[in-house]
Amino acid sequence: MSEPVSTTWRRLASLAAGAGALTLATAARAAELGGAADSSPSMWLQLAGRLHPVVVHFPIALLLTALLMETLQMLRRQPKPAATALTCLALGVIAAACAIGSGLANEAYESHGKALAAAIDQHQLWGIITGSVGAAALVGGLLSRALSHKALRWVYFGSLMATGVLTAVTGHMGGSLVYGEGYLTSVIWPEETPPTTLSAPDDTPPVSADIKNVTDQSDSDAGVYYEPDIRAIIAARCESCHGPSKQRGGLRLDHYAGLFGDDETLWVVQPFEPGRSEMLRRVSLPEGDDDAMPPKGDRLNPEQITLIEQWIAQGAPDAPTHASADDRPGNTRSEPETAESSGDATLVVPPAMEVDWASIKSSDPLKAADAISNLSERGAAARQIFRGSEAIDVNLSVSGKSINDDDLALLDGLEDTLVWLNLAGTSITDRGAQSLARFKQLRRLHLERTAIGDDGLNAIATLPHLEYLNLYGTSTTDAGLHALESLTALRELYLWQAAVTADGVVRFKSARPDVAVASPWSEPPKVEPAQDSEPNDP
Amino acid sequence: MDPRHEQLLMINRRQFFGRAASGIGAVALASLLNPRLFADTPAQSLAKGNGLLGAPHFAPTAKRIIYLFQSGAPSQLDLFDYKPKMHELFDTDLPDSIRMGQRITTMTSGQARFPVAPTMFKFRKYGQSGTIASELIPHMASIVDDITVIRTLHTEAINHDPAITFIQTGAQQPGRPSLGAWLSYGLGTENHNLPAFIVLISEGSAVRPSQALFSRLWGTGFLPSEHQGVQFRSSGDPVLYLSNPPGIDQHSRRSMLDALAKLNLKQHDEFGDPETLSRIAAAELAYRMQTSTPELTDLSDEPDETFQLYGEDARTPGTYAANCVLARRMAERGVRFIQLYHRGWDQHDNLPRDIRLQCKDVDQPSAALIKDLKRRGMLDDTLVIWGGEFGRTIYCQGELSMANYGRDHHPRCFTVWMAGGGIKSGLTYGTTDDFSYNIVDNPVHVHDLNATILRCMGIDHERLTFPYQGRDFRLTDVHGKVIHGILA
Repeated sequence: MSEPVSTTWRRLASLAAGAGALTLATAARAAELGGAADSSPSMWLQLAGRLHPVVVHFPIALLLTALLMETLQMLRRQPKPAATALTCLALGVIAAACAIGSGLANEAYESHGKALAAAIDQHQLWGIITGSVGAAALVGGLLSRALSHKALRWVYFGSLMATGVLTAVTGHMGGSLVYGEGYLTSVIWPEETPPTTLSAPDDTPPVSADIKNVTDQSDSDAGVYYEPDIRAIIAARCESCHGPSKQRGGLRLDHYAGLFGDDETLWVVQPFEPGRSEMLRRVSLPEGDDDAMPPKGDRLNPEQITLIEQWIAQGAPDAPTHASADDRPGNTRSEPETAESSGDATLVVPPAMEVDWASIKSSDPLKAADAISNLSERGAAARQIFRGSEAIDVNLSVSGKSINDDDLALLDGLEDTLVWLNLAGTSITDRGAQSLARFKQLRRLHLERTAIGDDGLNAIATLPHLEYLNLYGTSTTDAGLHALESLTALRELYLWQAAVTADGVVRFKSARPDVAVASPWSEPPKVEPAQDSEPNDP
Repeated sequence: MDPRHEQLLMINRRQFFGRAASGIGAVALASLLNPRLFADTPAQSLAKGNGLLGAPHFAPTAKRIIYLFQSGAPSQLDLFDYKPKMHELFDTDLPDSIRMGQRITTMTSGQARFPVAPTMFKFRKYGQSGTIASELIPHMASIVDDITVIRTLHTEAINHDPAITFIQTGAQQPGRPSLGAWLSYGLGTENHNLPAFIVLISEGSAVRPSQALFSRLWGTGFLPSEHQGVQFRSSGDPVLYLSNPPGIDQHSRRSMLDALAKLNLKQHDEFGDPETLSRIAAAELAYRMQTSTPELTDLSDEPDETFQLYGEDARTPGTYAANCVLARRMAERGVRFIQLYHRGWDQHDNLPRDIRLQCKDVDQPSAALIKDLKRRGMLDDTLVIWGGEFGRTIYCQGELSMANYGRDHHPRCFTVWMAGGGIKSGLTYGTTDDFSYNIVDNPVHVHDLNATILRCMGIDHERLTFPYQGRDFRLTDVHGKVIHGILA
C-alpha cells in the first residue's frame, strides 16, 4: 500500500467520522427540541431550520457528482474507486447530515399544518435513509479503496447508485412541498396529473364543486354567509395553517368567532369594508408576493375571491339563520344604505343584464390583436373593456366623418369579442349597419348622428344581446322602431331627434314596456316653483 | 459636471434599468405563458395612449368624467342640507355639545359668540325621489331624480388652498398628481387629437372676490407631464400659441416640428430624460389640436335650442354656461376628464346676496348638462360631479340679521351631488345632525369619494400607483374605501 493512498484514507476517514458525529449531534438536539416544540425557541436552531431550503442543494449536488465520478471511473475500468468520487461522497454525507439536521429543526420550529404533515414525515424519513445509505456507501468505498477488494468495490458502487436514486426521490419530495404536488410531473404528463394543491388531505372533502354552486346561488341574489359558503373555502385552503392544529400568526379561521378578536384593528375581516379587509387583500395578491395567502399551491380562483368580497361587503354575516352579523362582538356598524330615499321609483332605466364576461372569448386571438392594432393606427380607441375579460370596446366616433362603411372592415376578427361599439357621428350608412349583424356579442351600440335608417335597423334587430341602442339624430322611422321590438335584451333606446312619431313610440312602448325610451322631442326647461309650504322634516 | 444634471442622470439610469428589466421580463413572461395574448407591457401601453393599465381593473360604469367644481365652497345649508329646527334657534349660541371644541378658522375664532344662522331660503321636496332642495336652485331641483346627493362628505382641511388641493390630489400639500392626471396616466386617451384632461375656468358673479386657483390643481406632480390638464381659455386662442403665427403656414409648422423632434430625440438619446419625450408628445398633440380645437370650441353650430336649455349666458365665452356646453362637446369627442371650476362661492359675508348670484350662474347650466347628456344617451357612461372643497358653518360670521348673514369654512360635512356613470338616481346619501355640523351616519371622506370615482372608471384605487421617492404613491394615499351604497 503506497503512502499517498494511506494519506487519502486517513483524511477521508476523519471526514467521515466528523460527518457522523455532526449528524448524530444535530439530529439528537433537534429531536430533543422537536419533542418540546412549545419551549421557547432557540434562535440559532430556528435559523438553521429556515436555512434548510438552502442547505439541501449541497447534498444533492455532491452525492450526484460522486455517483457521476464513480460511474466514469467504472467505465474507464479503473481498478480502484476514484478519490474525487470519495471526496464528493464524504462532503455529500456531511452536507446530508446538515440537511437532515436543519430539516428536523425546520419541522420543530415552523408550523406547516396538518395538510403537509404526512408529506413532511415522508420527506424526513427518506432524507434520513438517503443520508444513512450515503454514509454506508462512503464506508464501503473507503474500505474498497484501502483493501482493493473487488466484491467490496461492487457493494460500494451499488450503494452509491442507491444513494443517487434516494437523493432524487427525497429531493423531489422536498420540491413538491415547496411548489406543490405535480409541479414537475404535470409538465410531462399534463392529462394524468393535473396540477393540484397539496392542501387536500384525506380528511377534507373535495369542495370545488360546492364552491361553484355557492357562487351560482350568490348570483341569484342569495346572501353569502360564513356558514357554509366561506367555511368551505377556508376548510379547503386555509384551515391547515389557521385551524385547530396550527394557528399561524395567532389566527384561527375555522370558526366564526375566531375571526373577531378583542382588538378590532386586528380583524382580518372588516365587515362591509372589503377594501380594508386583510384577508381579502392577502388572497387577492398575485402568486409570489410575500404576503400572498395561501402561501402554497394555486391562488384562490376568481369565483372564490369574489365570494369572499361579496361576503365582506354584505357585512360578513355568520349563517343564514342570523338576520345579520349581530353575533359579532363589537358590531356597531349599520348597513350602508340606510339613507333615506324614496326607493327606485325614479330609476327610469331597468337594470342591465349581468354580462357573463368570462364567456366572451376570441376564437382567433391573433386576428383580434391585429384588428385592435389596425384600429388604433386608424385613430380609433380600441381596447379590452377590463382585465377580467377578452371583451372589446371600440370607439370609432373619435375619428368622426372620416369613418365610412368600408372602414368597418377594420372590425374583422372581433366577431366573438366586440361588446361595446361607438359609431356616433361617423359617415356610415345602412350598408355599414347591415355588416354589424355579425357582432353577436354587442351590448352597447352608438349609431347616433349617422345616416342610418330603417334598412340598417333590420340587421341591427337581430343582435341577441344588444342592451343599449342610441339612434338619436338618425332618420329612424316608426317602421325601423317596430323592427327593434325583436331585440329581446334591449333595455335602453335613445330616439331624440329621430324621425319617429308619437304613435310609433307609444306602440313600441306597449310592445316593449321593459325598455326605457328616451324622449324623442326636446322639452323646454321647466322649473317647478318653490312653494311657500315648508317641506316635511327629512 | 453640474451636480443637478448628474443627479438627473443617475435617476434616469435607474429608471432605465428598472424599466428595461421589468419590460424585458414582462415580455418574456407574457410570451411564455400566453403567446397568443401579445400583452402590452405598461410602457407599450402608455406609448399607445392606452394608459399605464392598458385595460381597467373592473368593467367601468363611466368612460369619462365632467367635474363641475364649485370653488370657494358653496353653503350646503342654503342649497341641499335643510335644517328646519334651526329656525327656532335663530341667534342662539351654537351648543358646545355640537362644536365639541373643534378647531375653527382664524376668521371667526376671535368672535365673542357663534350665533346660529338658519337659512333664509325656502326648501321643499322635488321629483319622485322627494329630494330636498332650496329655492335658489330650481333647475337643479328638476333633475333630482337623476342624481345622488351626498350630504356627508367631509374633509381634513379648513382653508381653501389645502382643501381644494386635498380634494383634487388626495393630499393637502402641493406636489401630488391631480385626479385627472391619474386618470390620464392610468387609462390614457380616447381621442388622440385632444388632451385626455381639459380644464375650463369661469368667474363667478359674486361681489366678494374669488379664491385663487393654481395650475398645480390640474398638474401631474411626479407623473409624466403629458398627463397634466390643458387649460382652455375663454377668449382669443383657447389654447395659447396653438395657431400658426403670421407668416407661418401649415407646411412650415410641420417641418419645424419634425426638425425640433429630431433635436429633442437626440437630446433624449444623450440624457434619457423621459420629460424630453413628454415635450415631443406635447408638441405633436398641439399640432393635431390646431384642427381639432377650433372645431370643438366653435359653438356656432349649436342650435338655438341648446342656448334655451343652458341659458343665454352660454352664448358668452368664458361663462359657466358656455363651459358646460363645451364640456358636453368634449365628452362627445372622447375627452376623458373635463374639469370645470366656477369661482366665487366663498360667502363669509353677504351670503344671501352672493349665493343668489352664484346660483344664477350655475343652476340652469348644471341641470341642462344632465338633461342634455341624458337625451343624448351619454349620461349612462358619463360621471358628473358637482361640489366644492368644504362646507360652511351653521353659525354666523359677522353681523346676523333675518335677511343677511355670512358663513365660515366648515370641513366636517358638506354636500356634493353626482350623476350618471354608475351612480344611483334619486338617492340622498348620509345624514348630518340638526346643525349640519357633525355627521350622523354614512360619512364619506374625500378619499372615499375619490376611491369611488376611480371605481366608476373601472380602477381599483389601491392598484393605480406610481413609484416615487422610494414608495408607491396613489391618489388615495393609504386611505379610501369605495362607497358601494351610491353605486347603481
